[in-house]
Amino acid sequence: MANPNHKKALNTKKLKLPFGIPGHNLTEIEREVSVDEPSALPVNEKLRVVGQRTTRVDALQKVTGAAKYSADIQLPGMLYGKFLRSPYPHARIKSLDVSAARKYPGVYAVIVQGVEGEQKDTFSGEKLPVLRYAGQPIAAVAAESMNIAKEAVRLIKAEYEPMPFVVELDEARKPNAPLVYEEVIEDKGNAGDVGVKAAEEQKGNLRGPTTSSFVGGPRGDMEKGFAEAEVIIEHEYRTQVQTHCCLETHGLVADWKSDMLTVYASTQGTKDVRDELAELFGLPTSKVRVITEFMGGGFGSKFGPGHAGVAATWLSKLSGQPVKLMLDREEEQISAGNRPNSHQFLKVGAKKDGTLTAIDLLSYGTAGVGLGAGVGRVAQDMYVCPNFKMAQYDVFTHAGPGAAFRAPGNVQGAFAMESLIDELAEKLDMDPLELREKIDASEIRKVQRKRGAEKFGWKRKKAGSDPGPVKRGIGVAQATWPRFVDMDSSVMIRINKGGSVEVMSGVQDIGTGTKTILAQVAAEELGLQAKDITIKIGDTTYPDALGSGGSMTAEAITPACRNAAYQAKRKLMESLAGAWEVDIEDIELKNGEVFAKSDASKKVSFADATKRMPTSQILTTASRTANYGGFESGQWLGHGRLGAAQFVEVSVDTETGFIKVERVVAAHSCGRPINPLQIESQINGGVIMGVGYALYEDRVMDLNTGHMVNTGLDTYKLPYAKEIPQIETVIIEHYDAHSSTDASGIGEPANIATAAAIANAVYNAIGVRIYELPITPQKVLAALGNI
Amino acid sequence: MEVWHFFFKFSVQNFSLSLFQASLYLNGQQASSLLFISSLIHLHIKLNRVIILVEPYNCYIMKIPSEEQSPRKEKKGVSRRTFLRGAGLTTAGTVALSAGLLSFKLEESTTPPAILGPGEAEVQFVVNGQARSVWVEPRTTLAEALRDHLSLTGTKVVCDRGSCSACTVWLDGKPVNSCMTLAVDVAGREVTTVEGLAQGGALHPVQEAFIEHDASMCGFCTPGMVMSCAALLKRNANPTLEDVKSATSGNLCRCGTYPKVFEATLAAAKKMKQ
Repeated sequence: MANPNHKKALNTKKLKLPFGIPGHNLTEIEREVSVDEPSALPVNEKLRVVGQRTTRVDALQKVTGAAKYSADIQLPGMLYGKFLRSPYPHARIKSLDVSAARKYPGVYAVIVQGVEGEQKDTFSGEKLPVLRYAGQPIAAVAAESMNIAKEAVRLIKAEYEPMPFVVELDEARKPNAPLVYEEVIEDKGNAGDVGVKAAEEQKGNLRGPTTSSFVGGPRGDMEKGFAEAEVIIEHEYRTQVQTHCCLETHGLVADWKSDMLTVYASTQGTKDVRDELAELFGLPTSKVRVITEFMGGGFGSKFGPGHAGVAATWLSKLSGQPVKLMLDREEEQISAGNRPNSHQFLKVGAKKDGTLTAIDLLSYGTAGVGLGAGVGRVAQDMYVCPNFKMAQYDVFTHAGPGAAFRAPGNVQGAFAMESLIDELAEKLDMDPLELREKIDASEIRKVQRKRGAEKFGWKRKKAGSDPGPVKRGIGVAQATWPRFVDMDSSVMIRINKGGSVEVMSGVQDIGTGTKTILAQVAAEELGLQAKDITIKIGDTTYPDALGSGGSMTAEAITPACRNAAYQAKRKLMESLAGAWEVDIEDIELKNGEVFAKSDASKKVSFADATKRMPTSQILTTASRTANYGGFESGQWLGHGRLGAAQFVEVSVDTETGFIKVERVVAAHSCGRPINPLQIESQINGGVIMGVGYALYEDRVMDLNTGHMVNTGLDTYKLPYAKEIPQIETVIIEHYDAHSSTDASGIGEPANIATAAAIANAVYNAIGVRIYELPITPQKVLAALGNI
Repeated sequence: MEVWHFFFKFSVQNFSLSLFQASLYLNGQQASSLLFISSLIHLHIKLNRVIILVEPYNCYIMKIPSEEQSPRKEKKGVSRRTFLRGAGLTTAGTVALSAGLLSFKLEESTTPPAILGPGEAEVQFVVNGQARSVWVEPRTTLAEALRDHLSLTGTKVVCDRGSCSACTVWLDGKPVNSCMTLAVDVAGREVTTVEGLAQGGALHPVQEAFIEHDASMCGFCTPGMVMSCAALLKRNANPTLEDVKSATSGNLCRCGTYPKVFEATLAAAKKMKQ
C-alpha cells in the first residue's frame, strides 16, 4: 500500500525492543526505524519515571478550586446564551416571531436555526428547521444575564404544527411508523460505531444493514457451521439508552473579535472544534483559537463545537461581545448525546468440546435522529470462529441524537455475546474460563484470565444454589479493543536556559491524565522528574494533536512527546559535546544531571548544562511516526488488540430484587503502562460506569408526548458512593514494539465487559438469566416469578 | 405561552394572584422543578419565612412575624403555625392554598415583613474569613452569588437541583448545597468554599490526600467531594469506610473517582490524628 510513512527511511537504525508480556512470554524484537527515533525504551522495571505511580500534575488546581473550566470562564462584557427548544418531538414551525425577544432590555442578539443540517448546526436564520425531537434547538438569545436570556426566550412567539412521531425502537421499525426523515440521509452525526455509511439502504426508519466492519466482513459458510454444531444457543438481548452525564455540560465561551475568534471549549478535541468553526464561519484556521485547559468529562460526546458552540459563536459575532453558552442539565440529557439502545438477535453454534462453529448476529438500535447504533465488533472479533455473519441496522426515532460513548457499540455487543458464552459454558458443563481458554486465541487475555482469577479467587458454584433469600453469585466477561493511532499528533518541547522544560501541544486532558503522562515521558527522556516539566496543552496555538477518542491519546501523543524530547536532548548534548570535547554518544542525562560516561569529571546539573546552550531556548517539534512494525490497516489501526477480563461478585436479594455489586477484579492491558496510579482510576471509572449501565441507568421516554421523562440527576439513576463495589485492578504490561513509548489507552476497554460480567454473576446467584439491561429489581422479581 | 405572560405581569403587582399561578405552574409541566421548590419551602419554613414565588420569574421572600412579636393576631395574616399546618402537604401550591395565603394582603399585616426583591438587594456575609457584600436579586442562589458575583468558581454547578452536591460549601461550618441555598439567606453568616479550605498556604489534609491518592480525574466533582469529606473529618475523627460513603452519598462523580475518594479520606483522617 502507498503509505508515505511506510517508505523506508534513508537513514535507519536497528532497535532491540521489549516484546511480549513480562512473567509470561517477554522477549525482544528487532525493528528497523528511522535514525530520528529515540533509543529503545526498556521495560518499565528499568525506568525511573515512566511506569511509576505519579500524582497528577494538575491535581493541586483541581483540589483547591483553582482549575478554570469553560463553565468558569468570565470575560469582560460577557453575555449569556440560552436556547429556545422544540416542545414537540415532530413538528413544523408555522411561524416564529422573535421581535419581542430582540426588544427586551438586556438582549444583545437573537438567532434562529436554519434548516441546513441539524447536526451541523447552521444558524442562517433564513429557513426554519423541521423539528425532529423534543428539545431540538430552534433559536437562541444572548443577554446580559442568564435570567434576562431565559426571560427573552419566553418572549419568542412560535406556532407549531405537530406531526405524528415515534420514539420507541420497536414501533419505529413497523412499516407504517411515522417517518423521521422523508429523504435518504447522506450524513448525520453518528454515535461513533461501525456501520454508518452514506450509501446504505434506507427504508422507512430503517437504515442498513451493515454487514462488515474494519476488521472484515462475513466469513465461512453459515449453513455448514450450524450443521456442524452440537449445541446451538439463540437469544434476544436488549440494552437501554444511556446518557453521558458529563458533570460539566456541553458548551463554550466564544469571543469573536475582528482579528481572532477565541473559544474556551469543553471539548475532547480542540482541533476538531477549531476546524469546524473555521469552516462554518469561513475563517482561516489561523484565526480560530480553541482553549481547553480543563474540561469536566466527555466520554465520547464532546467532539466538535456542537449546537451550543455554533450558536455561541453566532451570538458573539452578531453582538460583538463574548458569549457563554453552557447547556443546563435538562438540555444536556436531551440533546447532547447518548449511547443508543439495542435489540440483538444472537445465535451461536458450538461443538461439545466448545469449538465455535458459527456466529450469527442481527441487531437494531436507535441513535434517535442520528446514526451509528450498531453493536460493535465483539461477536466478530473476540473469539475464533470460521463462520460468521452479521446484519446491524440503525433505526431512526424522534429522539435526541446519539453520540460516541465509551466503546461505542461494543458495550452493547459484549453484553449479548458474553452472556451467551456464559450460557454456552453451562450447557457444555464447562467452567466459563475453561471454555474461553478453548475458544479465545488472545495471548493477553489468557494472562488476564489467569492473573485475574487468582486475585479474585475464582470458584463458581452451581447457579442459584445459595440457601436463604440473599444469594451470592460470581461472573466473568471479557473485552477486546483495537489499538487505534492518529498520526496527526504533535508535541513541541522547549528547554529554556536555566533548566525549565515545557511540553506544548493542542492535545487536551479530558480527566484521563494526559498532562501527567506527557510530563513523565518528557522527564524520563531528559533525566528529570515529572514535576520538573511544565505542561501547556489544550490550546490550538500549540501543535495540532488528535481528539481524545478511541482510547488512543496515550498511543498517539506519548511517542510524539518522547521523540520531541529526544531531539531537544540531542541539541543540548551537542552544545556540551563541543565544550567537553567528547563524542555526543558519550553524554547521558540522568537524575537531573548531565555527564560524560567516559569521564567522571565532566558532570553538571541539568540546569547548568542549559547555560551552555547557544540560544536562550531549544525548541523541537515531533509528530507521531508510523508504527514500528507497520499497521494492520491504513495508518490508523495497529497490530494486536487491547484485552480485558473482569470478574464480578454480586449479592441478590430475591425478596426485593435488589442487586448489590460487592466486588470487582478487573484485569487489563494498555501496552506499556505509563502511570499505573491513573490507569487504576480509569479502570475504576470504566467499571463504575458499567455498574450504572448494568443496573440503574435508563433514559425513559414518554410515549404519549415524546419527551424524555427523567432529565434530572435525581431521576436518571447513576451509581453514587453507596453503590460502589470494592474494585481491584490487575494491570498487565504488554509490549508490542509499536512506537517509541509503546503505550496505549485504557478508557474504553475498562467499560466494555462490566455489564456482561454483572449479568453473568446475577445468573449465577439466582439461577435465572436476564436478557435485558438494566437489570432492575423489577426484572429480577419477574424473572424469579415473584411478581 | 399566554399563561406565562399573565403570570409574569401579575406576579409583580399582586402576591395573591401570583401564588395561585405558582400552583398552576407547579402542577403543570415543570415537574423537575418540584423538588427544588418544595425543598426551598421546607427551608424557609424552618427560617420563619414564606417564599411567595420562585423560579422561573423571581422569588419574593418575607419574614413571617412571629406570634410573640405581633402586637395582635390578625385573622387574615399568616402565622407560622397556620403556615406549618399546611406545610405537611406535598406541593408548594397546596401548601399555599391550604394555609390560607391566598387571602393574605401585604397592607393588612400589622408588622410589615421585610420584603426583598424583585430588584437587587444587598447581602453581606463572610466568605472564607473575609467580609463580602453582594447586590443580588432574591432568586439568586448562593452558588450563583459565589461564582458570578465573587468569582469563586471553584464551587461547581452541575445539576442545579440539589441532587449531585458538586456545589457543596460550608455554611457556618456545615456542608450545604449552595445551589439550594438562597444568597439572601446567608446574610450575616459564614461561608467556606473550596478556595478557603487551605489555611495559611497549607493545604487541608483532605486536599493533600486527594492529590496523593489520585482522587480527582476530570476534577469537576472534586471541590464538592473535598468539602463533603473535610466536613466529615471535622465531625468524626475516626471515620469508617461506611462513614465516608455516607458523607459523600450525595456527591456524583461520573469519572468514577469514588474508590480513590474513600481511600484518600480515610488516609487523611489517619494523618490528622497523628
